[in-house]
Amino acid sequence: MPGSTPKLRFPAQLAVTATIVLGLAGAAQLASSSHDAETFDQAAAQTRLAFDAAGRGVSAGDHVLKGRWRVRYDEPWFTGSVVYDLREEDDGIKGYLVEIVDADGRSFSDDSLILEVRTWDGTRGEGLYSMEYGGERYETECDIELQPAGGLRVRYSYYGYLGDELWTRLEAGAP
Amino acid sequence: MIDAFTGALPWDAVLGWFRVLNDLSLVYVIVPFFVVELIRYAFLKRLDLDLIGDSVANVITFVSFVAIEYALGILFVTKLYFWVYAEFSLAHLSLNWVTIATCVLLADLAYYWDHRLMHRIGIGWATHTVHHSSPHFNMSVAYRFGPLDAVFPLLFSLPIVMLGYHPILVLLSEVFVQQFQAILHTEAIRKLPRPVEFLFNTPSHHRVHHGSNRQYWDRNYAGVLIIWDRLFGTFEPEIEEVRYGIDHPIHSNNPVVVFGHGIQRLASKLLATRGLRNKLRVLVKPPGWAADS
Repeated sequence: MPGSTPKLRFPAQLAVTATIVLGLAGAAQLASSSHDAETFDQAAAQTRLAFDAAGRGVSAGDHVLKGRWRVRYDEPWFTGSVVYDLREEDDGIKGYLVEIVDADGRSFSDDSLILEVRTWDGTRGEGLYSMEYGGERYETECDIELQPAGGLRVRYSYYGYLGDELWTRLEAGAP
Repeated sequence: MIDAFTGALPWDAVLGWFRVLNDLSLVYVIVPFFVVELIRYAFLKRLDLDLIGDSVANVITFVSFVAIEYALGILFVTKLYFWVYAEFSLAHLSLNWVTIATCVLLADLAYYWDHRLMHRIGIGWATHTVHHSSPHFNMSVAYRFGPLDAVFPLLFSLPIVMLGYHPILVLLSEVFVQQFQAILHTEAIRKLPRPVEFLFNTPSHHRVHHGSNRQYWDRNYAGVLIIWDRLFGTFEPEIEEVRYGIDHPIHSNNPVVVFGHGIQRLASKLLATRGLRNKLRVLVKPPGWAADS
């Protein structure tokens, strides 16, 4: 037929497709991992600086989780940052959402309960995480873990949505 | 320099870009161009009741398709995407220019294979024949969808999610490929400059895809890049004037007939085929296959 291209055998077509897919996905993984490592290092460094420079991250006798933490979200449904306040109460550590700052810099105050820490062994534990989506509030179990390089990692899964947040500690008195 | 491509991009900005390219293109490209095509039809004295009826049927099939897609999305597709992303995905990729570009390319390659599958197996053709059954070729035909057209792409997009791409980015990339392909449904543009015709799918290449001329059958499956067809040997240039439609025309603009004729024909063929093994073959063999052939 005029203009027809020579045809690869079907297995060869699949092999070419697999090679292209591996090449494209590999490039994306490389571009992504180098950036993620950089971002994580920056977040960890900020947390360490907050501790070291101010020297008042956690007072002796305080629960290591107690205090204010900031989380940056860059999700399709929300871009901005949220400040959580982890307080030591009679029945354990509880986290309250105290401030939401959206992508345009607008700030909203809140005081809703977002995290209940149920178990804690000094570096990691489990809890109940509460999230709001589409005006509804949902609860799910979560894992929390202090990171060696700084920060608190909070992970949860809800109907297939995987949440993986890195919380960075705010200095006492920081906005 | 590399940082410009690997630096994180904010989701709200990316969603905004895709909204302009995907959603709003209906307003600033598709509808105005369709009006131009109608004027062209009138000028060529081809604007008749059949063409208007065909266009109305196209819009109704689109509404039906969207209703099915929303129902599937709400019921399980969205959950399926996020479940696969959480449980069976490689390391999750951040949002940057490299991940966006590679995701669009992968979505385009997935579109090629999905499209080819829908032409080459009975159950696929039962739904995709709706898109090809129009004897006309204009922007409204781009939105003439079959009842299961939203199902088959899942087979090819879920592996992209498994590679670590965010499900929302995969969906946006798929819609981008679909919208690019939509603007190719026109007779008003003959040929574009040669480098463009070599690399990209164009109205000329896609007219061939819609041709019922024998040499044009099962050719030019591409979405954005025609190089997939050149690479896999399914490319055919537009030489002979294209006759649009399918080999057994439906001769109807009734939206119910248009939307359901492929499934109805497949069901009739299944009923007429003897033996369970042969019935299964009807579903997975090429559309022209018959037990006695």
